[in-house]
Amino acid sequence: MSPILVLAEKEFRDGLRNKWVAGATLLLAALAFALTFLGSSPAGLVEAKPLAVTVVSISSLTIFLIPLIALLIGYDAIVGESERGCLLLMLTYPVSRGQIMLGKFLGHATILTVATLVGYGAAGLAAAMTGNADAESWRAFSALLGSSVLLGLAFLALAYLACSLPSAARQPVLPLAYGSSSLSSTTSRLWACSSQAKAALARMSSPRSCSSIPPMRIAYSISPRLRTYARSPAWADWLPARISVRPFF
Amino acid sequence: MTAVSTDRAGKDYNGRTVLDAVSIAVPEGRCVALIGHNGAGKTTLMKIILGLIRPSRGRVEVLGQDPATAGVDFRAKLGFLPENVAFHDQMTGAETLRFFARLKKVDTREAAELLDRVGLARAADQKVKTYSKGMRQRLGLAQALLGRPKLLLLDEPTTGLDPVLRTEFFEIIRGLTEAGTTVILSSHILTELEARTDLAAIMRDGRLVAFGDLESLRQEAGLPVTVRARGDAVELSKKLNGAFHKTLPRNSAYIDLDCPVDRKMELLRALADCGDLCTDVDVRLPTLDDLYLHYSGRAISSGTGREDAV
Repeated sequence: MSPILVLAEKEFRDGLRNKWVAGATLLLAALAFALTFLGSSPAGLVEAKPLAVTVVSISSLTIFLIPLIALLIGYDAIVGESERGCLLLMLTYPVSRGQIMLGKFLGHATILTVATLVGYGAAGLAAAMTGNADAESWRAFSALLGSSVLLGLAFLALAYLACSLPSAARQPVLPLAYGSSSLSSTTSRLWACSSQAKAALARMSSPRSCSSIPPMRIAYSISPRLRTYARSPAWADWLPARISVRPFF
Repeated sequence: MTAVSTDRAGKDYNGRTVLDAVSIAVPEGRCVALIGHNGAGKTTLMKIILGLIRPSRGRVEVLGQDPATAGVDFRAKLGFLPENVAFHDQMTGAETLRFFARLKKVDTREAAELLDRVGLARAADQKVKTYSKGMRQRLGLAQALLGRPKLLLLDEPTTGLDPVLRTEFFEIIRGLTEAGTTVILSSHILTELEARTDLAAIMRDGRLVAFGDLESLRQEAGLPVTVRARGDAVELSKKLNGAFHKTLPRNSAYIDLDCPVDRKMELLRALADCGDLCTDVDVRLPTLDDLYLHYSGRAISSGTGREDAV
């Protein structure tokens, strides 16, 4: 068997054992359930589809939670192992560094995917079962699942990248990566998916029902500093051109 | 054939020299002990031999290849036991070893045999987090032995092992060297290495201060033999009358006499002539500890290239 698969399988099994999978799944499911059943009050008396409301709420949750989980898992994979001394031993084995990274990535990607699909999927199913869900909100929901997974993988890759830097450079990178999460292009994709769902909502109910708070506004109300940071154009200059920086108000 | 050779290998970390002009040549199938205080550069030298770090200066050749650029095939021939070996706590011993065996493309049945060989067969299905220090060390040794490596590097392999296991450990090592494996191990506990290693490399502050087999190191150091004569210490020292350097202990039940190796018999004859004054004699040859203290304490002025001693 290829060393990549051996490593991936071990990482996934490790994730099951040390409760990463269970923890992430439960956290995502609990928050998604809470948003679905407690947070759907903006729908109020209007006739919004519960699944569509769920999509809007979960997409806000995803933007903040998935990158955090991905960065934590990724950081533990490289820095944690290196600090414990496991990595040193691994490097003397007949596996290339690329294979180690790929194997670990595959394993962690599986953990993250399972957690996202099961956690959100359960909430989605519950929302669909308590009310009727039309094809359009199912489409929005599956787009949400897909882009949540992609967002997680992107941040897993970012964590690996950050961990591969020399330790002095590593420290500021992870918070920066997390801080930029709500501004990355993947986020705008999610935003698009959430606004798709909102459009669906708007079409089927009164305009008031889509007044659920947009994610960026949550970020701004949490941190005034983040707001000034996000508005100042200076920091955005060094970002690669392909990452679009669009504040969403 | 030379399994490991370094030629004036050096390593700097942030402008600080941790390894300086180390030249050793280890023939195939021999066991070498790296001896030195903490921070003497033993682990750095091992990492260079493993190809984990590149030397800043000098040339290194291991099993006919440059370890820093050698590929996956090269590492398949290595076994390594790091200092403070760490495993994933949630896996059992058997799972850990199976994982490493698959990574090394070794039959997983060999993993089970090795577990038995290091005495972990009964604890094989326990999680590693329940293992004691000695058990972890044995698991570490088992993974290093996977796939019959051509070169085995063991960093402080006997820490945490009890005397019985330590003896077993050296038996395993002897079996391996007889089968042609080259072993490089480091240790603080010098006495246990004696009579169990072919060669010793004594390091101090990143430099190699002595390299060779124990016998030639002993001769070169010219350390005295210590003879402890029991009996009436005062009378004995009067009789011997300053012919040998002596130290009187407080209780006067014995005296320690130092003499060069070639005058040992002369001293013993003199003691035999003392008749009843001397009731017992202990002869102590310089140990590895003495050698280590001798070499690590002396000034390094005569250069370090000592590979001709092999």
